[in-house]
Amino acid sequence: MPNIVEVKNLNAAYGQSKVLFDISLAIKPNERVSIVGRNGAGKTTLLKCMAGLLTPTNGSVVFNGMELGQKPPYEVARMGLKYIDQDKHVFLDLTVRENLQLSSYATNDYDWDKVFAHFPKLKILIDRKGAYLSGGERQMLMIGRAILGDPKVLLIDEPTEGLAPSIVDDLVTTFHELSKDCAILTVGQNLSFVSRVAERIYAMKEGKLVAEVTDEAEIKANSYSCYL
Amino acid sequence: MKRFLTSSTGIIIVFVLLFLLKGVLPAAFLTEVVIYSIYAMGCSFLIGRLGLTSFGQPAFLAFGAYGAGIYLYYFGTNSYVAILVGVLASLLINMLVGTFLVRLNSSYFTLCNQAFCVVTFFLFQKALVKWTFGDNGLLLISRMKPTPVIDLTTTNGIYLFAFLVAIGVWLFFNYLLKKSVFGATCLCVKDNEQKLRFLGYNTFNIKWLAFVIANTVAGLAGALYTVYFCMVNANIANVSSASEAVAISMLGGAGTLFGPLVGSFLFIGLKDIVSQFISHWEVLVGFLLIVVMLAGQKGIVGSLEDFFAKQKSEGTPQTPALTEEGGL
Amino acid sequence: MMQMNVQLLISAVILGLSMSGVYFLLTVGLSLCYGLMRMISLDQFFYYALGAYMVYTIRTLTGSFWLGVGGAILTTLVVAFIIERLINKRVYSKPVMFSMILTFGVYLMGVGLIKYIWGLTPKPVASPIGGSLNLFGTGVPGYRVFVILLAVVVYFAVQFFLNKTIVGTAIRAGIDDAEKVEVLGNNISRLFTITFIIAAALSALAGAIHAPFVMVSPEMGMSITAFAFMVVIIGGLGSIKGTMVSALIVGQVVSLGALIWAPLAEMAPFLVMMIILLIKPTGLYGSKYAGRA
Repeated sequence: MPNIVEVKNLNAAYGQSKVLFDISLAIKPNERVSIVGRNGAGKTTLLKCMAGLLTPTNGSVVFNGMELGQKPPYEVARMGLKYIDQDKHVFLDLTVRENLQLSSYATNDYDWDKVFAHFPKLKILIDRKGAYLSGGERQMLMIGRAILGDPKVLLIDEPTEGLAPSIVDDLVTTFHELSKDCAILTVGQNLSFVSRVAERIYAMKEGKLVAEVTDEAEIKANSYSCYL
Repeated sequence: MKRFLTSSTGIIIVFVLLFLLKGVLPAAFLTEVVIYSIYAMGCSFLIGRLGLTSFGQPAFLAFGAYGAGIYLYYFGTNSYVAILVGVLASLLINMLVGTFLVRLNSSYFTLCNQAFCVVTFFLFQKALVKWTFGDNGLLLISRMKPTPVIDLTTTNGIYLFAFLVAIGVWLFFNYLLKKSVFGATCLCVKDNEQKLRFLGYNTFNIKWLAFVIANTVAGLAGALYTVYFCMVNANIANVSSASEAVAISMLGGAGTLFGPLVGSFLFIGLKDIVSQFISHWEVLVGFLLIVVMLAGQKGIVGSLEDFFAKQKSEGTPQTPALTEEGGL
Repeated sequence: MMQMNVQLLISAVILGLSMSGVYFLLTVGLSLCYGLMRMISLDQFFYYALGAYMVYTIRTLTGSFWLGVGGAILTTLVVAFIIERLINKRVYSKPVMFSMILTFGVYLMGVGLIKYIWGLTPKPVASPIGGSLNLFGTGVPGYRVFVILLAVVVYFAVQFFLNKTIVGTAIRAGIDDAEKVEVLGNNISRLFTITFIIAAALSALAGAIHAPFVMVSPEMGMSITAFAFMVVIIGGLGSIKGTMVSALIVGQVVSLGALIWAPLAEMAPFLVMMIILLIKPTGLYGSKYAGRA
């Protein structure tokens, strides 16, 4: 099966300080991949480069057979590569409905039933403002509004950060269900979560990918933590 | 080259060379350039070193100018004392106004600053019209008596004096920008005020002091201006001319040592030449501002500094954080 | 005597309200631009002057004031669109200071061009509504009442646009976090353009309806800056409701202040602003986002 995302020799820098060094990775359709690494390893930078929010100094991101190049982030999102930030920031002044409307408007996908199928709670909260949602509800809304427009890849930055353990359990199920429709790339430091979700793991250290773990037993055993 | 220019001897030599240009260029032009460069020094310092854009500089120019003007009109005849009074008046006002303005973040600072300039204009034009004679202004020519050592009532005298003052101001700012801890903390305020606060500095004091220094220098320029033109009227505080200080700063390179001098030389030169051909020359000022802002915001001196820095360190990477936003 | 004072007071309050109307129209654009693009768009004052000049020109040519207002808005939409695409969009991602100096350059150029086209002589524009209304025994010029009503209508129209339309929702979301709007797939740069030309059109409308009150002159933009800044600062940058409330405050302070002592008209709102800033450094309705430099 051809890869849905291919990152080739990606380098990135903030001003003069280099952050990413020759990153190459590939994701297959409907695959659940995780990138693990410590703070400052460059995980978020990598995701932002893939989503078009940062311009890499060189290297390329190929999505669905197309070079993303200098495409602005909104075009990348419309093509089906959605990025979910780590700060759990929903629009505070907007209701859940308006949050979803914005995403529907952008992608011309008004089929909210699939959102409610994954997150029934959002249907109840539909007229509540973002400011009054809990952390878990915000994460639901962020994922919910991202799956509108049937993305082929979700890039999710630190999905479990700041969430209660019971909600993390729900997320594991959700991610398994979501991967029936799209590939999921998460980055994070929560190794127990990663080992329950990921089919394949990249370890990242100081801006480089240092290891790739594909063996299921190894993932279950958290043995990749030695690379961090 | 750069090291030489920013040494004390370098500064003095630059000004002596400029002084000798008197044979080639009209003295009136050079005097104006020097007074304007002192005026723009404060604005350039605020923009380049503190990250505070001041569209209200005419107000601070006006306090110095009126300080000198009112002294000469009502009290004394000595131009030296008048300049001193102007500087003191502007110092006092800045200390007071600074406590209000400096608390604000940079957007609010600019807006309040410009509003303050308009209020100052009305203060001198309407509210205090009994004493300032509004738009007609204070005519001082008959009040000014010749002064000892350098006679400030003669064209040559004020020319020489303005140069001496400029050298003093430049030596002071050179010390401030390059050698003092205060200068470094100012840059930190611009870069990340919160981090500086975490380091244990009271950023309010730093900004307040910088504000007072920068605008008192503007006041000094105002006092010189009064003595040079032998008159002062409310138009000096007109907010329409607020662009001048900012344009000079940006043109020359904000926060650089010689930026204000190069900026005012070009600015006043262009003004004199262009206004012979086209009547409304602010089109050109606007155009220059847009070009400088879109071309990297570094101004002439800033770009030259970068150029020399690159020549010197061929191949070796530059220090990131500062050069990145160094121009502004 | 008492009767006289009440009449003075009523006409001052109406005058203040109509000034508030003009201030509101002019500053709502500044506030929107700051909220969404984090820029302070000083060129709004150029669109304000341009609006006034277009009204003058079209009125002289066709005799219709209302046609002039329409023409002013249309011309400004085009001019603002060109300026935004060519110049302003390049500084959105930079600190506020960049946009301030850049748009000030745009303003200067614009005013210079106005001087070329229309000259320096102030132009009069006659009021399109002549009659006066009787309010508690006080004659109130009909045009002032019209300006007040127009501002009220615009306020509700802006609120409707922001709260009930999808583009307005996107703008409110962008005020919160523009990057998140973009990663959802919305074309943020188009949103910025729309917001900017709406702001410019409102500024032009402010200039157009203000023209009969004042002489149309090239410096009219500069002479209203102080009041406009006081309004946005008192209300808090980025808040429409705050802008409305503080426009009301400033309008009344200006007109009632002038009743007491003429120079107070300019100074009193400044003092009010200083006092409010001492109590709340982000203005009355300033959000926490206004705290970002």
